Amino acid sequence: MPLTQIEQYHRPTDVDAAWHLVRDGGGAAVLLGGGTDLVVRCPPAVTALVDLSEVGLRYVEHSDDGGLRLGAMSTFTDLLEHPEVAAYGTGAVGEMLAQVGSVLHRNSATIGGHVVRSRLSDVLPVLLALDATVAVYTGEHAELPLANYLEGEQGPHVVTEVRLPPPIPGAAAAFVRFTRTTFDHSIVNGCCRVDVAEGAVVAARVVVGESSTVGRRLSAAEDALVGAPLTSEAVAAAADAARRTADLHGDWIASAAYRQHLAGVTVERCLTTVIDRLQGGGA
Amino acid sequence: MAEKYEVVGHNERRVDGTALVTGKPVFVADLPERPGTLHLALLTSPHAHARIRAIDTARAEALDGVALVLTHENTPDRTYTTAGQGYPEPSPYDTRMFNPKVRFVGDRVAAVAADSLATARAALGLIDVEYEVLEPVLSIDAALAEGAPLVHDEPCPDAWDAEHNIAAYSEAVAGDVEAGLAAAHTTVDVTIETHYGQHVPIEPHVVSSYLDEHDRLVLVSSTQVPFHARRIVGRLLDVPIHRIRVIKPRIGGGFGVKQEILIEDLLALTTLRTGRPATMSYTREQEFHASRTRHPMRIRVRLGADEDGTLQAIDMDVLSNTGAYGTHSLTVLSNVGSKTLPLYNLAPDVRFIGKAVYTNLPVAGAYRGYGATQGQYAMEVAIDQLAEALGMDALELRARNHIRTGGTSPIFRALGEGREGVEQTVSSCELEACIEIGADRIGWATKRGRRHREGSWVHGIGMSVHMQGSGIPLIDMAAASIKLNDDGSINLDVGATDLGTGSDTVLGQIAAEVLALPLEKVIVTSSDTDRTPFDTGAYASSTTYVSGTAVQRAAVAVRDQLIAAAAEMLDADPTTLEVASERVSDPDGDSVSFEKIALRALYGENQHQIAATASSVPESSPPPFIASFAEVAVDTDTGQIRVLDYVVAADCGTAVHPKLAEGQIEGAVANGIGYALVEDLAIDDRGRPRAIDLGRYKIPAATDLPRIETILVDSYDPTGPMGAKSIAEIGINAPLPTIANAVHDATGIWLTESPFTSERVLQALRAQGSGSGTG
Amino acid sequence: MRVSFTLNGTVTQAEVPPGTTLMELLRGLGAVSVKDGCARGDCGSCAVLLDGRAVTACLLFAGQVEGRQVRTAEGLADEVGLHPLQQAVLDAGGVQCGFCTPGILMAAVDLLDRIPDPTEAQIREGLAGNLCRCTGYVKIVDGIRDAAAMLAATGRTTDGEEAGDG
Repeated sequence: MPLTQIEQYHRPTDVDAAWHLVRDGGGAAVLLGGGTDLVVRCPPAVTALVDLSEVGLRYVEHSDDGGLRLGAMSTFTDLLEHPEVAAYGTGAVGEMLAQVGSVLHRNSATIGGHVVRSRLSDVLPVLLALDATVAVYTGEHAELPLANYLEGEQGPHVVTEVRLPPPIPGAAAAFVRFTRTTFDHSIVNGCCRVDVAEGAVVAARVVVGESSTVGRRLSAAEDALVGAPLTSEAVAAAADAARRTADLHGDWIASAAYRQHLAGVTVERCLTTVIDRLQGGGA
Repeated sequence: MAEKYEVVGHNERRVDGTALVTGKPVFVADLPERPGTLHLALLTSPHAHARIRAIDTARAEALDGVALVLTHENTPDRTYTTAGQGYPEPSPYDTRMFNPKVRFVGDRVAAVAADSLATARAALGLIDVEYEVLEPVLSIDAALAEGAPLVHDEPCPDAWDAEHNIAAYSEAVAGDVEAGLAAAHTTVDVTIETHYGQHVPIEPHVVSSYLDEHDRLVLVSSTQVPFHARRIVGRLLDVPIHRIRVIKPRIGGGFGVKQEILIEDLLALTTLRTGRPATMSYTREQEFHASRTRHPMRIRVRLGADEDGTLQAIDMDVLSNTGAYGTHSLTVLSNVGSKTLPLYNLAPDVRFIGKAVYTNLPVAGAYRGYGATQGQYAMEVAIDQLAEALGMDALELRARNHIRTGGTSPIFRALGEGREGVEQTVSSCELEACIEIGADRIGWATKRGRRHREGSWVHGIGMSVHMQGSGIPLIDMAAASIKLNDDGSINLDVGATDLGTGSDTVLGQIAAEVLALPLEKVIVTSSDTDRTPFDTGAYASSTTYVSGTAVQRAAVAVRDQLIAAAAEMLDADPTTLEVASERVSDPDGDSVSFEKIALRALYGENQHQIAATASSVPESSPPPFIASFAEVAVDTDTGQIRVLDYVVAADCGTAVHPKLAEGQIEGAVANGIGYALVEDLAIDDRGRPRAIDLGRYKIPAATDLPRIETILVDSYDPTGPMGAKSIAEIGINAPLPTIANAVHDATGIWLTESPFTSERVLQALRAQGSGSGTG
Repeated sequence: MRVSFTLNGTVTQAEVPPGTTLMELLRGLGAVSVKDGCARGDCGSCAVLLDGRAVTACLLFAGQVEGRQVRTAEGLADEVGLHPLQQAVLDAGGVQCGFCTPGILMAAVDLLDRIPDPTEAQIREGLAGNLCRCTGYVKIVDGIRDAAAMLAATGRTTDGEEAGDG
């Protein structure tokens, strides 16, 4: 059955025009990326779709500082098939993308749409752990950390890019998730990144999430890692901190206690892989 | 042993295969919409238990484009059952089209027919319903509690005891089970609990209706039971059978859920009232909350055995939750015993007692396995526990006790389908070979009891054995008609219903074999109440065995007519003639082709139509048997189970189409693995299913399953068409006990509550002191 | 709104309400191989190729195919006969009810375009978005593997020699 609420379908050819359509539409106009979420969960007030297919946001480019700029209309498949994106974060981006949805979804879901809709995400914990930023257009271009983007209230805007900073030497990352079936929302997911210099951890990102939230950094677990070598004891301490502080909720799929337990397992397994990757065990 | 056949036993190309792979419009929803078609939408109850105090449809009726609004106030008040079973149905008549009292979340409140689906759905929002919410009955225990609210407080004479929420009762006793248990050397006592699962045919229920040029009502339905649908709709709406035609085109899976007359009545009444064509498809959400499910059960099994492992006593006590209506409540209940207990037929003392209770929960119905799934889970876990208690190998214990060719069981006679059963001796059983072959393939001797560990994953293997039936003896009935065409081809018309199993092909193969025709010269028409003879329908693993026998008989009769006509043409003694390669030959080598015979019969001398109709009512229901084996790995950190390897060795008699037969096992096992591990309607504390889409109700994808291997063991059943028995249901019974037993082998825990979610497994590991963490 | 696109090699125009999904557009144009199994992207029965990649037609709006190439199961067979994938999946016993089959075939075309000689694990991964309740996938996987071998032996791509198909 068609979405009878939709009265207008716009296909702008540049970002500025798209932004004007959204701004002028108030809450009635919504940006359409891949579409994988909108057909099922179109907000009731929406009467106009602004299709971003023609605005030229489907690309992957290098930024001047050596990072990667992922055009917002890049599909997950585009990114997975891009060797540098897939290998980014010692392979954490690729291993995550390969587990998100099915190939049918990866072929149409876009990175920009995913960041905007911020739902049921395995992508966001990885991007958060890797310090990704978001480029937005609101009549002018701006860039802000992904974490800030997710926390803040955004007015009318167009996400134009997701940006990955230049790779940090001596850093490694890994992604782990637990699901009921392979193509499922995560009961718990997580990504850890550890930057090591001169044998000691100088920075750590421990992000744990679940199906209904976007993932959250666990400072207690990060603190357990920073300043010391990444040993199995440090891993155990971080995992324990994650188990204590993850603050995950319970629902009919899994209890809070079980999710807390899995948070610890997630961090332990991510960090074990990180150690392996730091030792050159392969990304 | 199996004879050699030309067509039967070969992997012929399916008669409907090309149409299916090219995407031809062969399903109900693909057929062109007739001009003026009305679209139906359904308003269902948000409450588990409520009385409709008032319902106001005026605003909905006033909406432009709305043609009809149906509620309990303007529809027949007659009781019936939605169970598409033989007549009289052995299910209580406890259902009305619409009811002033709603009994589960998803129960019908109103239906709207409108020019478009959008209008029909919009109109639902304009129906004002005032509910008096009643205390719901949300569990088996709550239903049986003293002073429990009554799900059916109206007169409900067919139910066993509606005044105590008991829809059905079944018992069978042989010997003295308490004495047998008391005297036994070793006993075990196991209670299992199963949960709500749903069939999930990928095509939802869909029906279109119209009046033909003679103003007869035509229903094009995704049904497993076109003849029952015609009868039930006719009776419910007071329309003579001869004014109704039901056509089943290709259907996208059924698994039992399309053995229910769920929406045919709505389409029929809409078309009769308005004179307009109408169509309706369940949404996926309705498929979960307003359809049918597998009966959740609590089953206690007690076994007593001699020192050498010979079973002396078996006691089985069943509580089944039939939900708000009693469709299939009695027959699924009795099947728990009748498809489980005969498997171990040495015990002289056997008792089966079962109750099916009404609750304000989703309605359970027919689902592949049909009670055997639950019963064999309990039994096969109990058998493994007994083996452990005796210090015996699980294979050896089963080998010592399972039924064999020539064996019988008092249960065959005691437990039938809603009435007494039929005495039977097992006419073929290759279960010994199945166990041996399967054990060899899975590596039983080298892997069982080893608890091989890789990191946090520990491996184990387990097995279970199973039986089912082949149709319902002395109840099922199938007929087939064959006529010869000018070119020597035949039309095969069967009432049998191909629900996606490939039965049109299988039945065509049987006709082709008898008549020495290539399959492409058999034009199969099935499941059209105007065009094909009667058949009870596709359920109870009946089609190959029951309908196949009818086809075989009709083909033999046509073959005899071909021979008689050829005898005239060849001037030969008919008893000396043979049929081969589309020709009838005499001993001298003279022969005539079918085409010549047909042309002579139709246009030449002694003109007549070479044709025959034959029927089959089986006197027995020979069980197929399987031995099921799995290797699993259990993550002791998380409780996750991975099924690494799955092997089924099966005795289905002659496999008419081996790949289709294997596919039945593989599909059933896949469904069973999903049910065992994750599939769950997840009912909340107000009786609402939470898993109402395929994002939440997870069925296995290709990545969730191992490569299920099926080994068809050489077998021949003397009572079946060309030695065939059934294969369609049995595989679904296996994964619950096979996986539970494999997890025990890996970890020492017994999984007696389904589904085996990782959290539940971890809890069991911790309770035993072997799981990680303390939480 | 008007949508112009190429459907199975034929330039096609349609006038539809702007909230129409691609699945509705295609079924309305007679491409009924595009099955409606859940209407929310969970079952894969509506999978079609959009510019060569398999997507769920129920989750796209009709407008998203403007100017693009769409291929459905109707566009697989040619005048010579069945596409190797259709033939191989059928012969392997990979078709039971057949409702999921067209979507599975389209996912398989995408897969073999990317990986002409896939392992069993790669085939299963390629089918992860297509639910089948009948087969347990064994014979579907076998059929796709057989089709890969047939295509390799004949040197054909999944597009075959199909005239006019982009």
